[in-house]
Amino acid sequence: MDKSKTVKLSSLVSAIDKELIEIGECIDMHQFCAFWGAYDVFSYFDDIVLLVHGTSGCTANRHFLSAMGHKDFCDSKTHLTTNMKENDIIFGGEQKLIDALNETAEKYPDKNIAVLTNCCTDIIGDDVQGCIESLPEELRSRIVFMNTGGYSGKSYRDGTENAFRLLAEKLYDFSCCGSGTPNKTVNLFLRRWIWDPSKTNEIKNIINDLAIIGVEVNEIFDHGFNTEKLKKMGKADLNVALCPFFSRGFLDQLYNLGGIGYSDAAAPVGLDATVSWLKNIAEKLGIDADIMADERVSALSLERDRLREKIGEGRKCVIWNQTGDRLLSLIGFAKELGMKPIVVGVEPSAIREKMHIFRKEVLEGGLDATVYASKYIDEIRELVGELDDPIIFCNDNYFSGKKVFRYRFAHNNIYGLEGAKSMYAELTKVLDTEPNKYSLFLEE
Amino acid sequence: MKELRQIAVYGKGGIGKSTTCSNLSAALSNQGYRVLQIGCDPKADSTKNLVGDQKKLSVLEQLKLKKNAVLDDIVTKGFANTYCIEAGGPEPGFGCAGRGIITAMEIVEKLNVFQELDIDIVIYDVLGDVVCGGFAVPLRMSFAKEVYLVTSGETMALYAANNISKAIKRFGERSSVRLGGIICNQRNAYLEHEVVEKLADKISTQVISWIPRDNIVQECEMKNKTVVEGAPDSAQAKVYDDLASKIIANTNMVIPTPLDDEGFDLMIKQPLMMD
Repeated sequence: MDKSKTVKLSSLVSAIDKELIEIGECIDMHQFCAFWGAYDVFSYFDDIVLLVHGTSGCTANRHFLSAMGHKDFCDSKTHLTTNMKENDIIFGGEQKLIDALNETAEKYPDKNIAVLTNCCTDIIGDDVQGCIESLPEELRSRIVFMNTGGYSGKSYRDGTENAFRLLAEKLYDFSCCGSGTPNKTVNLFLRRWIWDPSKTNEIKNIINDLAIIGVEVNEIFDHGFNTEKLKKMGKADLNVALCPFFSRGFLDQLYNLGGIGYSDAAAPVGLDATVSWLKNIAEKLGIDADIMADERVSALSLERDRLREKIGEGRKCVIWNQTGDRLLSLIGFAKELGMKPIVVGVEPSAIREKMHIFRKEVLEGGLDATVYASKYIDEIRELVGELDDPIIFCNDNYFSGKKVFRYRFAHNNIYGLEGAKSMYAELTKVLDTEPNKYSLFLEE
Repeated sequence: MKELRQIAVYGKGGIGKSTTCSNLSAALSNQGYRVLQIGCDPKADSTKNLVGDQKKLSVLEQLKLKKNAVLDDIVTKGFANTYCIEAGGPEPGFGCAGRGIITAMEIVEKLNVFQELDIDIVIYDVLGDVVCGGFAVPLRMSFAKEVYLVTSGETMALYAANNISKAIKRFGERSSVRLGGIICNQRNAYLEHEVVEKLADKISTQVISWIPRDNIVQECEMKNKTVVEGAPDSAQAKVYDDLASKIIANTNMVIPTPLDDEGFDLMIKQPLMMD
């Protein structure tokens, strides 16, 4: 391995945090822009109708992108747009927006309206907030607005966080906070882009995991949500999230305005991370629970030990995953199995974008790995060729004849004890199976 | 918490907005206010007579260099402790200057400049005319509440003033932005007083100040100074000081009643008819 191309992840994160290195602009390839983040969040609500002020393409794409559906489902909710045309760009689209808001309000009298903008509107400078303020109070009070032009540097994560903040500020009734229940309860915030059957399984599994520490789930932030359920969230003792960033803005607001705390642990991928996650929740709720004494935990621990032995202590693994939070989860997963992770394909702008997660996990939490700087697939293949029988964490079939752990987060259990069990089983299968020497077709 | 006054100054290109604004900022600062002047023009020369030769990069130039500019990167302290920011913009013929203003104002907001510098009065010096949504940003709700139009008695300057009134009317109907008056930067045009008074009357506002034409302005500008700094004892400096006092005391704020093209044409000709 060319040492001149390696650096410790902690050093890289620290340098990026201190703005010591120049980073080119790069959008997180899996996650799009703020428009999509905000759109995703508002789409969870059945009693919110979305109106996009702008050209229609961004709205139409919702129906077709795979992230918006799965094999038995496509996004068939109502999506509205002012469908701006050349004349609207030249002469301004404000009147069109006002007309559309009035029409939407009439057609959906029981729903709130979330107005988002796309690039066109933001560039020409339509005064969307001013248009909304000019409406009668009765209508105005039903509208939330976010400026989400994609070019302005606001990322998908910004979009989700700001949408959650706006929801909390505009629609949430904090008077119900702290009304409490006799049992310790939490609100559960699932990861985004999860569909059935994975979603149902994940909910069931996480509820079972929380039962280990005697905690029940009050409300789950899931598709089909509404402002009534939002209100009921105030009865929980704590908010817990599975994803390290999705919902964070909302959790902050529920804490700041409603006094409901949240667990700052997330991404329970693997046994160690799941136990830490549960411990953090238990501590926050003042529960004294012996998690390791649980039968499922001890059984899984034995399973993990067997896998660890099969892998061999100190075996190198190459992790290739561009989304920062998953990358960190996989590093933790590899480490608990005794491997020495080398991460490739790391995009510094993705680290900067999710710096609060990297700061917490890497700089404060001590999670570290070797980063191998590479630009092209050939360099990564060369690296893999130099290592002694590494395991490669990668979802594409680039490495024929090698042990490749291919595990898609989107359609599989990943979180909690069942997630760990599934991942251990899949990795065991990889180790027990002769690698395919072909790279054009997926192995089954 | 003290009330922040935000004032936007609009007018035809070359009419003397920047000269008026920088002298106004200097005069207000001499009167004890903490003043921030924001130049909203791609030329980025609104505050040059306040900052002299210590000019910093504009907000948009900074944005090109680094993503996260800090307060010190964009704010220059000028004469009499005035604070100065230039929004900047693209080279002529490139990009979108209006969008540049929107972005620059977003950055100013994000950096919490007004609170950080404990500003009493913000003066926006805005390019030529409200030619697109970008140049209307200072009229939006979270920015200027009062607007002044700089004009002379020349037809095109009056036309621009009437045009800008249309934008103020539109924004005024949905927010609290109001027209505070006309500042006549005199060019000694034919029937200047009459026609400017007539426009003020037609659009339901006042002429808050008559600024005489005086070469002392050019003399001071050649030294990169405002008149308030370069010739503090001059009659012209007194005019700017009076303007500052009148703006501070002004409560005559209106939603203007701009003229249509036919009405404007008639208004221009009316003093001649009376003659």
